[in-house]
Amino acid sequence: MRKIALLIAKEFNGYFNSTIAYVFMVLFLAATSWLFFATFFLAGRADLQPLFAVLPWLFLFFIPAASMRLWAEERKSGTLELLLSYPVPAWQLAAGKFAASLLFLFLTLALTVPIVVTVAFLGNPDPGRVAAGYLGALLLGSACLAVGLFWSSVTVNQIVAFILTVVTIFILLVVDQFLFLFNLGPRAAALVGSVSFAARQEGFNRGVVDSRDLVFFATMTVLFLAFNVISLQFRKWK
Amino acid sequence: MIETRGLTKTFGSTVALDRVSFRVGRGEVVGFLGPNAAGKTTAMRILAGCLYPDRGTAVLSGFDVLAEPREVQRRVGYLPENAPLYDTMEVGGFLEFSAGLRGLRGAARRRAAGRAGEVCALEEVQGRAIGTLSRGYRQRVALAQALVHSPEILILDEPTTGLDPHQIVEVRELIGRLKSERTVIFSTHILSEVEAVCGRVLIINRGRIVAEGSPSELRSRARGGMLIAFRLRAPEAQTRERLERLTGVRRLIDLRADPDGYLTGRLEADPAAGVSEQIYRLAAEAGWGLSELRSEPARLEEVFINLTRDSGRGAAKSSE
Repeated sequence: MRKIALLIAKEFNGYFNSTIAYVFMVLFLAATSWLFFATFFLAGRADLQPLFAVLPWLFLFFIPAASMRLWAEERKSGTLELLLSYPVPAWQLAAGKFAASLLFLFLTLALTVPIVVTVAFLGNPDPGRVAAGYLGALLLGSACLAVGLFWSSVTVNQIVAFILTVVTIFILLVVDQFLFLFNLGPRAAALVGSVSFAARQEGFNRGVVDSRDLVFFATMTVLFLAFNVISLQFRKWK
Repeated sequence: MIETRGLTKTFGSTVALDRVSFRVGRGEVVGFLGPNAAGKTTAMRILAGCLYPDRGTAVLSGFDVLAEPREVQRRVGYLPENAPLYDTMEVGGFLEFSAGLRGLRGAARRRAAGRAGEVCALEEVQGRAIGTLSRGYRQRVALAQALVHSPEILILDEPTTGLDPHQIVEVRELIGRLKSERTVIFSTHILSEVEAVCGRVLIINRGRIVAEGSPSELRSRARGGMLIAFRLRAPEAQTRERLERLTGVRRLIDLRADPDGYLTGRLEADPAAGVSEQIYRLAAEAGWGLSELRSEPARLEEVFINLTRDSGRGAAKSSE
């Protein structure tokens, strides 16, 4: 655990040692505020659901931007060689990077709290729904980060990692809306459709915390982190 | 301390290591010598636990790199090629980070980082970001990182590449100071370096060990045997011919006329043929002036070039 903590600290500082973190946060905040307030005053309802509804589409581009660097940069600069020479198992290396990026996402989401405060000042939003919305955002974000971390470990090129992550997240977000394209039976369609990130996150936006959705996002996160560990191990064999 | 048997590694269709077996005893300093892409880096990466061999075993301090990689890594300090480091981290912070990942905690971690910084003379740049350091300092930070947990075994991949002569001497002295307590393996393609610090040399070419021994042993095995240097006052054309006709002379390496009327040259000879004496007699008979006559064993360069000749090109690239 001590080693994971060191890795988290290193990675988290890594965000803030460059300007990436600040640019990222400012852009994210500007985008959420703009998209939210553009319709908020027109609708005239003290409701935060539109905020959470746009998050998947913001995550589609912001999360890959936050994750593309994580392994690709280490490979490019050769520091991965250094990390792999330390007596730290691959899963701890992956866990450290994942936790740091999740912490960073948490911090970024925390910056949207003033929006909530504004809405609360103007009206009376349901605190339970707001909390569920944030929980859903974090869960969705963690699954997306795990996807991004995996792709970052596969390539030295950050741009390639970014694109592959965007494509993967996009497919996972909207998979349920394109089922008509394939001639699937109703049961298969339901199964494939249940993988949709957007559909899973929507429940949280309505204030429903379904344990199945919790388990789903946790499973997806663990699954892609496992792929990440396998790709790290594979490097030693190839 | 280190023992490998039949270590083999291929990358795609290129064979980076081909059944490499060697032993290194406790406290030995061994130089890996070889042209670029000979397999040195691949061998070192395997020893450091960064890469698994396709076949064969490597045992360090009694632990197998495949069966117990963490135990091996706890006892090994590794300096990868080109000293990769985190540019945004500060020197002191980075050393503490390395010490922490090696399992040191709290005060012990800080002490270890401080000590490694001291050994590598990094006190002045303690608080500087690594990205702002010169090549020499970077190399020392990378070395400090490898030393921070006082490992029994040090594996240094080209620790002096890219340094200026002054820095090379510093790093070499540093390795010299370390060798009393630790087993050190380091790779280089600079031969004088090997002569300066190593007790034993492994020459690797195309993934195989082609020669092994102390620098002086290897020199005596050189095909060229002896090198004879001389300075004569003699007519140039005639001299060349007569020198080449002496028994035991393999070839005249060079011969040039100096402005002061002397001819300076070197030739390669069989060690047992007494060529120096023949030159002396020849000079006496012909009435030449002889101002210098010296024989020396062939240099390591020649051993190296002979052993690794017709190769090097198209051999396996070890990284990635």
